[in-house]
Amino acid sequence: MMRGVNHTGHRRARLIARLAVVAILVACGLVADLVSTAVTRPAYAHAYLTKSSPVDGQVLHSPPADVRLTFNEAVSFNQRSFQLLDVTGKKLAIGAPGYVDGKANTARVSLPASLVEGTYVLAWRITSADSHVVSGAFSFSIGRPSTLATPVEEDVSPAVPVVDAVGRALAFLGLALALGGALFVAVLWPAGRDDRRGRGIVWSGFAALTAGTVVVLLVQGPYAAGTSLTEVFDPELLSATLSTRLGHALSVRLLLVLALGVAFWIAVRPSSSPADVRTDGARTSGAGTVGVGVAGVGAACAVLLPFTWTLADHAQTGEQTWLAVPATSLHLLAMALWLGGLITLAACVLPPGRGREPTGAVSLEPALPRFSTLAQICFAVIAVTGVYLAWRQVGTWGALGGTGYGQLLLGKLAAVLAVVGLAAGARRFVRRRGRDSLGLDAAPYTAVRRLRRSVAGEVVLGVAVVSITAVLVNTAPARTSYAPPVHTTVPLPAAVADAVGPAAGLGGGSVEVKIEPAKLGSNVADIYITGRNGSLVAVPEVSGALESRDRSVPALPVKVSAAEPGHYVANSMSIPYPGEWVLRLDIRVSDFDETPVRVPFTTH
Amino acid sequence: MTAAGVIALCVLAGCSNGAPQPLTKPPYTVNSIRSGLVSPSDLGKGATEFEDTDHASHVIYTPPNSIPTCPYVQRSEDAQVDVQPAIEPVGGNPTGRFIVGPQRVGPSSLPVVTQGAVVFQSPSLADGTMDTVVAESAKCPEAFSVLGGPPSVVGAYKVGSRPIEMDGWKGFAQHLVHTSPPEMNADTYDDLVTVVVHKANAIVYVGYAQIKAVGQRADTDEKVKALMTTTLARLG
Repeated sequence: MMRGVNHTGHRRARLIARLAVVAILVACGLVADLVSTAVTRPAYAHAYLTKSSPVDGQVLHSPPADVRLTFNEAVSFNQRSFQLLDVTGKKLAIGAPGYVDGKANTARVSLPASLVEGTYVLAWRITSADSHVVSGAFSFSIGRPSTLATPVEEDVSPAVPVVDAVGRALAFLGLALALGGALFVAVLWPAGRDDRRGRGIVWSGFAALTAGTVVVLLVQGPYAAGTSLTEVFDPELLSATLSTRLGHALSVRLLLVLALGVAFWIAVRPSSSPADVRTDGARTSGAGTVGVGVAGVGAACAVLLPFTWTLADHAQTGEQTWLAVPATSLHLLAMALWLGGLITLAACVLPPGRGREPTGAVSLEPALPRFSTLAQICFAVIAVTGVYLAWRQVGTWGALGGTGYGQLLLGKLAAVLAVVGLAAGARRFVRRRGRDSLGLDAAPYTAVRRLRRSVAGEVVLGVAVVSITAVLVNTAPARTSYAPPVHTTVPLPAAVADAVGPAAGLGGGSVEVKIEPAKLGSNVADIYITGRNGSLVAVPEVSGALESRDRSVPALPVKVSAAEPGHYVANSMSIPYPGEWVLRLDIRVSDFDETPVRVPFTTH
Repeated sequence: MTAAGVIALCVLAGCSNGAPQPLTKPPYTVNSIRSGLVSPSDLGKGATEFEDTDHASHVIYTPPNSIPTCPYVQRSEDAQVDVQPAIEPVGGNPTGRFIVGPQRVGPSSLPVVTQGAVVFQSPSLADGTMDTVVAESAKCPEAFSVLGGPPSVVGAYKVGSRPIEMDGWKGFAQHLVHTSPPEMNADTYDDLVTVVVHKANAIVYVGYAQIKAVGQRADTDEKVKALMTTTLARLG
């Protein structure tokens, strides 16, 4: 009885400890979220335009000699990255683009001197520091604007990003099979070195990793240039890719894969002397020095490989890169070791039919308990780094549900939680049966069958997680894409209380402004002028202008039209770049009186 | 445990059976597209429906088989641009125009919905017609006046347009506010939104009109979007 009570108390204490860990993790996320919202400015993982000369919508007296574009981070581009279009959509010849004064975040394109009066569109398509391609366009006019500006069409083939995502997913899966599979076959499972199927899984992982990396390397050129898959072998594009940070990372990755492959081959090659193999299948110390060297090279390559992702993706842009890069690498490494090991375990140690065979069956020990311990460590690492990385890329609760990135992350979280549930069941099997004096191999067939199904479920969900991750890394992080609409109310100046005529009744009133989507590009601003009692009050005229804190940026005119009485709309308010802006409204309250109202807001 | 995992996945992935089931799917026919139009039960109690086989004096003052682009502009004397109030599609089969509304219209009554659709043999024909409709509607002036004609149409018109997308249907929502001269009616204004959307081989248009008191905010935009989110979901 006492033993039962103690057992129950022990379980309860363990449950409380686990709940406490979860609560601490959630609390850490909340604190980090609050601190980030209150103290820091948003981080942007993809490059964005912070400044251009001329600015979007500017009307110039004469043709500018060049166009300059300043981004928030270093960008790379090539001859095809910039296009100048006239109002009919015709591409005009421009000079070769280059960096201004060696600044990697500022591009310059010289323009022809023969530009005639009218509106022009400068379309750009550059590669961010995180290897993602971003594009945009802005217009400027010479003399006076043309009546119609041409729409800028994206000419990239839709197949290019799909092939790129497939390549990335293949590389992820290959990494898992190569690292996790190799660790399982060479270290955790003593009989693994001689198991043909186990070695085959690892080699297929190396092949998938190499193929995926090569696909990404080849596709990046057309992706950055906005062309089609027919140009994957274009030497100019390939050379441009190899000169970028992503190109360097992919090249290093291929070398590391080669080194790791050689190390694995040495580790599992058939021994020349039977004396080198112990009865449990493991090598004796005769393999000694070479074995230590191979293990060292293998471990070094395994640790370095994830950095070839994280030094060229979202992790190395934005804030806290010093922490994000190692955290993401650790996250990736833990995922690879767990998933690769799990797939090898399912295919080699727990194949269908195992347990029915009375003799010659593969022993569950020591591979299963060893892997179970490794998986527990991996889950802990994935959980801690995952919470931090999710906060870093999402930032706010609103962004979690309000962006594609956030929704994908929720889907990934759901799959991971399901994996954790299945893994907990498998862990219980190992601990319960491990206490049995006969060991794991004495477990009844039905129990092993349940375990096998559970592990198969984990594998399926694990591959789903990898697939979602491949899409996630190609998606703009929620911090970048989330743009909560601006909704603010500013009181009207006291002077309007003296207004007579239709605008009488404005005293004590206010101006309510809604801006959607409140991000760079075209926005819609709804302006409601209300009296003290909250009802709308019509005024003779409202005009507007967009002012930047940067004094060098001229005020941009905003066209405001009337809707219902008291409601005014700016249907195409163009915001050239994210940051802090002021919408200045000049509200005419009578034939002679006009009152300015300034509405500050921030765009993302 | 597996079941628990699947349930967790479904819950977090938002699986539910709350969404309306589509009654049809592309390609649409003249009959099937009608399931995506507003019915009296969609609008509320007291609504009735009739087919407008003539140029009835309803809010969209255009030929019955046409797609609206700039309603009322044909009555304007001061419009500075040459714009058609509607496009009569070539190569499409119109459903005809249906009006759903209350028996008597007033500031507190149900809105009036004037709607129809045009079905084409192929999506490319529908694409081409939609391009024409969008281009013509873009020419609609932001403000114009109607000085003569029936008292109900005299007054000032303010027009604004926004892109709209619902369940794969893409197009625009054109907001039109009509205020009568103060000496005729200083208390109310007409709040009309015309939505024209396109998907696959069909174009659907819905005009949603309300009478609002001056000082009240126009809310037709939100109401018509909510209504059409429901009705278009039936089209799959």
